[in-house]
Amino acid sequence: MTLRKPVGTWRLTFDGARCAGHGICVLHCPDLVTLDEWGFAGVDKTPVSQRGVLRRARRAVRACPEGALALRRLDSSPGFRASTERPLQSRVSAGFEIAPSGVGAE
Amino acid sequence: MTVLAHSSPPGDSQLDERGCGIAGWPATRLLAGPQRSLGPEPLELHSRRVGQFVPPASSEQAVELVGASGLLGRGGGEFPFAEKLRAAGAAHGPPLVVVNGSEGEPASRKDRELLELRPHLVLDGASWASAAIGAPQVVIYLEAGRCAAWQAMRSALRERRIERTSDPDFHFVAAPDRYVAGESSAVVSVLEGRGPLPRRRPIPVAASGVGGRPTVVANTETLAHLALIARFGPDWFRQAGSPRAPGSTLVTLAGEVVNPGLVVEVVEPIATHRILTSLAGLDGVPEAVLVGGYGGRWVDGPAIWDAPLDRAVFRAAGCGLGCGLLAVLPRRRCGLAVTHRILDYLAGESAGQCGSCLFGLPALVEGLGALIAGRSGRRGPDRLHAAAFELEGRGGCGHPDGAAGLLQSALEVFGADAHRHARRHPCGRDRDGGWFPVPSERRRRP
Repeated sequence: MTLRKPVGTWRLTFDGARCAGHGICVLHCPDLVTLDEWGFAGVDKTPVSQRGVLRRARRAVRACPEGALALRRLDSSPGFRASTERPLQSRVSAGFEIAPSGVGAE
Repeated sequence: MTVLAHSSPPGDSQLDERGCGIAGWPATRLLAGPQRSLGPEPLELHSRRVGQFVPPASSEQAVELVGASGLLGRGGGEFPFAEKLRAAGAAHGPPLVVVNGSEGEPASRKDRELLELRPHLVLDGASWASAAIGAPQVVIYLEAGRCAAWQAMRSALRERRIERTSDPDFHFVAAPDRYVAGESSAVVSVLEGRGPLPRRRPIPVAASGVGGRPTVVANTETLAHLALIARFGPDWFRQAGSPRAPGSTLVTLAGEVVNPGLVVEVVEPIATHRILTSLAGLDGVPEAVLVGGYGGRWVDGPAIWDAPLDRAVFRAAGCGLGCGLLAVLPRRRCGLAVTHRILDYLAGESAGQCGSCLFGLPALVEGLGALIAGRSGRRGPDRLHAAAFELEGRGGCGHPDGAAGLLQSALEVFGADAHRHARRHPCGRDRDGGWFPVPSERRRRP
């Protein structure tokens, strides 16, 4: 048996204002995410420290196209945050904006 | 509720010397001074009454002083004010102080009362707070429609321009006329040029608010208390209230009372019924009282009757005093109908940011409407309760939680009525009565 490094305690946080109801998160991490009647997500805010749940939660964070989910470490050091400060989508759309204008300039 | 005529002047009532009072009473603190009818207190009178303004010696001393007083924010959040000052002092950038005079609660009158009657007390508090954290600017955030408050603040500033040269720069910003506009993150959002969009923020606005600047958003009542703490010290402040919720507190009376909209200052935690009988004019235990604003909770009348009117006691009971609203349900009125009206208003006041609030609140309104009309079936009340419970914590701010909590408490307190409605028996009560103001449809978002 090999001893594995403890994963620490984390909390999945959710920004309801970003959620657009894609529903991808619940496919990745049904343990912590539930959808309401209209398909918008809601998360279980209890601290998590199980490796498997955390792995699935990370997948959900990465999969969210709106950047509405984030994992925050509770015990120490700033946690894994996919995109709390800047939504993923704005970065994507910024990329799209550059291409057409660049083409037009030529 | 049958109501007694308010025959005796408040001074002759059964209340003791320091129990509570309205504007102009000698026993009060925030509302002490000239009578209500005399309008805003002039600077000269204010200075003579509470003494000269002394700015804090240093930032650390100021935080220590406020910490020792145990002052909690009075806008409803009850956040320790010293923590806000500390966070703002520790953060980078030029800080900003906001006098939050946007009283979105339609039935609450306490902020308006303070701004209109004691403008210098509020401005002293703001000036002291800005000196404590080194903020060069103070924003006075007020709804555009509150003409008397605007006027009182404007003339107060004109008076101060000559005498108080140490004051920071005061700026006026008009608050949108919306229920959520007074929430601190919504205030920051308005000051940043967006609409009133409240959000749960990972970093509190006191550390990073308007454009990343540390922003201390303080309720007018909090600032008025602060002015008095700066003058008379934390020990004096703690003589009022209780150890866990020090200081006097302003309460607005609404619903079936003789003088709806009356603002009462509770100095000592006297029993709630003493205020309800002597100042609100009740002659018996009401069926229920709405506590803490429209996003608050209904509480059984008998449960509240003997409870001391103390923020800590109410908070522990799960029905925080919030903005200090006590709205009495009329004896002949259906509590569910009142809740439906309020819930409909709250649903319309959603900022529309989150799907769960945008769709969830109207669904609750519809569900409650169906229940009242007897169309919900026998399991209706339970289903509605579960739906309200589901909604909690899903939104990006506390707005849907407040509305869902109101509905849940209504289904609990008026449980018998709800089941009677669900079995298609009308509850036999009136649909209206009492003062539960809801702004007209015209003012709301299209």
